[in-house]
Amino acid sequence: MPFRRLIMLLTFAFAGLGGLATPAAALDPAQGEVLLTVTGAITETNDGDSAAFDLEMLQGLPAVSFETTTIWTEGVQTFEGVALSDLLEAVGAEGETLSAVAFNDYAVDIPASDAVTDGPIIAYLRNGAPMSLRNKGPLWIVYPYDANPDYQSETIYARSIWQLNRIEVRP
Amino acid sequence: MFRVLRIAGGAVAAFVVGLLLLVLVQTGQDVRRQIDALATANSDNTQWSLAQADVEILTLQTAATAVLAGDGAVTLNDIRERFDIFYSRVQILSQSPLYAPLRADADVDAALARIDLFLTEMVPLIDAPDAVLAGGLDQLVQRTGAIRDDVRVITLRGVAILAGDADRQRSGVADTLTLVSALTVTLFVVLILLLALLVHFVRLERDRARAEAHTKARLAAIVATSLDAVIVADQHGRLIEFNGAAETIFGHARDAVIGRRMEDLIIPDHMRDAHRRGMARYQRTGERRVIGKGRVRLEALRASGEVFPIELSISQAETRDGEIFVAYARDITQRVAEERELIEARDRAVAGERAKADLIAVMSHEMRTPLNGMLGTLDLLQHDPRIPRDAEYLEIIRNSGRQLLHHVDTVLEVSRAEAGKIVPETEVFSLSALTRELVEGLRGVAEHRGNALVQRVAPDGPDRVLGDPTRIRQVLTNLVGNAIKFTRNGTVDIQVARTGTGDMVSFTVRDDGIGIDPADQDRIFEDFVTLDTSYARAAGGTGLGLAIVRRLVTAMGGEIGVDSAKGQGSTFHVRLPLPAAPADMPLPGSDDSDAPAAPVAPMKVLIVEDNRINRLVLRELLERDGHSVAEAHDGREGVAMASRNSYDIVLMDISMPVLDGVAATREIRAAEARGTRLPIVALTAHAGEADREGFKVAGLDDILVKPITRDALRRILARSSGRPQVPATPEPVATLDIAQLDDLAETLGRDRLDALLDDFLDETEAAVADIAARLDAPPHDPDLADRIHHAAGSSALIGATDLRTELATLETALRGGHPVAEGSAAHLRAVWAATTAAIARHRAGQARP
Repeated sequence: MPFRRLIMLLTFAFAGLGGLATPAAALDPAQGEVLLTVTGAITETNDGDSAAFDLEMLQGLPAVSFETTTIWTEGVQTFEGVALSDLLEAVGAEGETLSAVAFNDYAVDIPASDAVTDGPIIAYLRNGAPMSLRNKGPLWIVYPYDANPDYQSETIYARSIWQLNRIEVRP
Repeated sequence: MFRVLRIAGGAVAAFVVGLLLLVLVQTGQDVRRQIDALATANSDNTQWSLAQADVEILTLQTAATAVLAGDGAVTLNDIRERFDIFYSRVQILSQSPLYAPLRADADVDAALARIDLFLTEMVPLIDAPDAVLAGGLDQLVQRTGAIRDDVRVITLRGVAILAGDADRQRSGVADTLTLVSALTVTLFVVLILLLALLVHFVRLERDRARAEAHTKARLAAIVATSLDAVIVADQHGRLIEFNGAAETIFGHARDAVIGRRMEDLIIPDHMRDAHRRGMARYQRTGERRVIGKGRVRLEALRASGEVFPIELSISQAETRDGEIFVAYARDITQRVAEERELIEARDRAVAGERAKADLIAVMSHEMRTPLNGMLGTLDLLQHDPRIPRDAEYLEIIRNSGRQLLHHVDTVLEVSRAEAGKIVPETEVFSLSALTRELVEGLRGVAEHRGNALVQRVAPDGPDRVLGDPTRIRQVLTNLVGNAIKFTRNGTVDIQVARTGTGDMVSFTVRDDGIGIDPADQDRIFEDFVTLDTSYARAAGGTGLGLAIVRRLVTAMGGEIGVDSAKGQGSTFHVRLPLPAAPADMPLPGSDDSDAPAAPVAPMKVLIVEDNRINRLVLRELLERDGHSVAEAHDGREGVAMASRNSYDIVLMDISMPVLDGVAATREIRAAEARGTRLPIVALTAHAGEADREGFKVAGLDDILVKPITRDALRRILARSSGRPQVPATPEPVATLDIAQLDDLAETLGRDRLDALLDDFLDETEAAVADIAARLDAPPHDPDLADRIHHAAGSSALIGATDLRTELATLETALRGGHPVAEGSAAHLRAVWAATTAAIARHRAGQARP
């Protein structure tokens, strides 16, 4: 659906423009549509007290990808994105808990300790394509459920927030 | 039984526990699966998601309605975002496996299809530019409102279905957990039971361990306090136990020897090889020579190097560590020494006893030789009396000599009896004749002491029997002699009868003399017992008489006993097995009797005898009977003379210097021509000394026992010459004493004897008839006894012994006031008939040559 993608890109670009106005300390301001806003106990910001990320910024961070099934989808999916740990490092997060909030107002607390290597990522590509809002995009915190049985639990499923919008780092 | 039950119980318990565990494991896996299912939680918060769909469609409707109403706060992009969120939610409901059971519901499926249609139809509107979207808001609001019911249906149905699933899942889990609980409880109970069993076994084991400890302690105490050395070795002969007694006996300290080899410590050098071979053999073949064989005497080695005797007993046992050997050993040094001393003492005592017995035998023997010479010489003098006074002295000397000889013989008899040399003969003899002769022989002695001698042989049963008449005579002589000695002016009664139907013959000798104290009755058969009363002293006995009697009776297979009371007289019972003689066995010539014998026709006799007196006596006796005599002084000379000259008979002394009688006989026999046989008769000091079998083998034909009497000599010559003795058939001795008649003939002359006999026959014929008649008609006049006495005197004079005995018995009975035995008259007549017949035969025999 090229048309919808175009709309989306436009939307992103629009949002990215909004981020430009915010002065950033270590982070460059977001150029495109802001997909994720990180607030709270962070040292790196680019939009006032918060760190705003557009897709380009996220893709600028080290990319991680893995294959896994999920309970919400059919078949094996390939997810690509930035590791949660890398993102927290990028913002200089100094908290214990991450309060993640979605567009659909779903909210869940994720312990900062979840952010480990081979742990959860903030996926921006699913099966090589960006995810629309209708398809649980644009950002989705995904754990490698198949690789680690520990991730096959109610708690982890609850933390797997899609249509991710904001993260507040709480001490 | 208990053990079997226990094993079976254990097996059952193990089986039950195993089964329970298996079920539990399976159930556990089931539970684990269910827990895994719960833990895996592939559910997310499904109900929340369902409810959220309802919320999100409402939010979309609200946003669209707000824009339509001109609310500036809400933009078209907000509508698009709410749509996308709802779209995303519905996609999850349509696609997620979580909602597969939900989708299976027809209503839900239909609702979903309608929602899907709604979304598909609404997407172009949402994706359209703002103007188009704004224009379609009415439709969107309307359609959204219409679809809300479907979303609600899904939400409600979903909640119900998912709740049902959850219920089912929960109840499944509950069931499984209940089963697990039940199994756990069962397992717990079984485990408790097993625990109880285990506790029981533990207690049993503890009790057993305690008992074992006690046993062990007791054993240890036993071993430690044992007076015997207790040594335990393993199969290689290494010591594993060595108790205190072993330390004392062997002189090794326990700690120093445990683990060392037995053979290096306690086995003497000379036995080590045997020990090693024995152990090797045992381990190879299992053959045991010492182990388990009870007490064995061996030698052992002390720490000091001393070899000493031990007695030990070894047993073998199987233990967990292999075979062990347990030895109990006792130091028997002292015992062995004591045994040796005892044996030596015994040997000395036996040797001394033997020397004493030999001395007695030799002395007795040596005393016989001069006595024989003396008595033989007296025999010669008897026939040649000088003056009456001399004859009287000679008689005294002769009686004394005989007495002495009797004592010597008695002592010899005892020593022979001690050596077990009494071997009874078996020959045919007449019981009645033997008894009669015996009584006659002793009548003089009895009358001298005023005693009547009564004899009665019961007529029932055979008279001719098999036995040893010499010994029986010896026994009876002794008993009757004793009875006479200890009775004065009384009666001695001899009875012979068969007891029962067997071979046993009972001899009873009864007197009414002084009797024997009951306390002494057991002792009188012992050696050298002379009761201090007049019993033995009166006759100056050796005290050996009854001892010999007992031995003789025992040797003949009989028994002897006595009934007596002080002052009431004594009764001796002798019971002897005397079977009836077979009818074809003849009565032997009465060799051993004292009956007189007639001379035989002249013979050439060689005397081989080293004793000069014996030669002298023999020569005199032989020459009187008209024989010609040659003498040799020893065996060598005898052999030489026998080879040079021809003799009818040789009288061969046995004990001689240079060459003894047996050897000389052997040489004579060796030199004899085939078909000829010179009769050789052994002269021995005593019959018992003669080894009859040995003599026979050496070639001796007969035996002549010293002292040699004229009669014995005559009988031997008669038998050896093979010529008939005169008379050819000797009268039954007791009926007529031929010797007496011969003596009378010599004294009176043949003619006067004939006249005497005629008178006797006439006179006694009448007397016997009178006596018999009067006996048949009691009561008896006192003068009957006188009449009988007179007839008895006449009978004695001519040697009518039987008649005299009969008459004397009658006289004794009459004078003693005893009743006369029934049938006495008939018996008397029969004896008279026999006597007259014997006299007639004798006269005929004398007339013949």
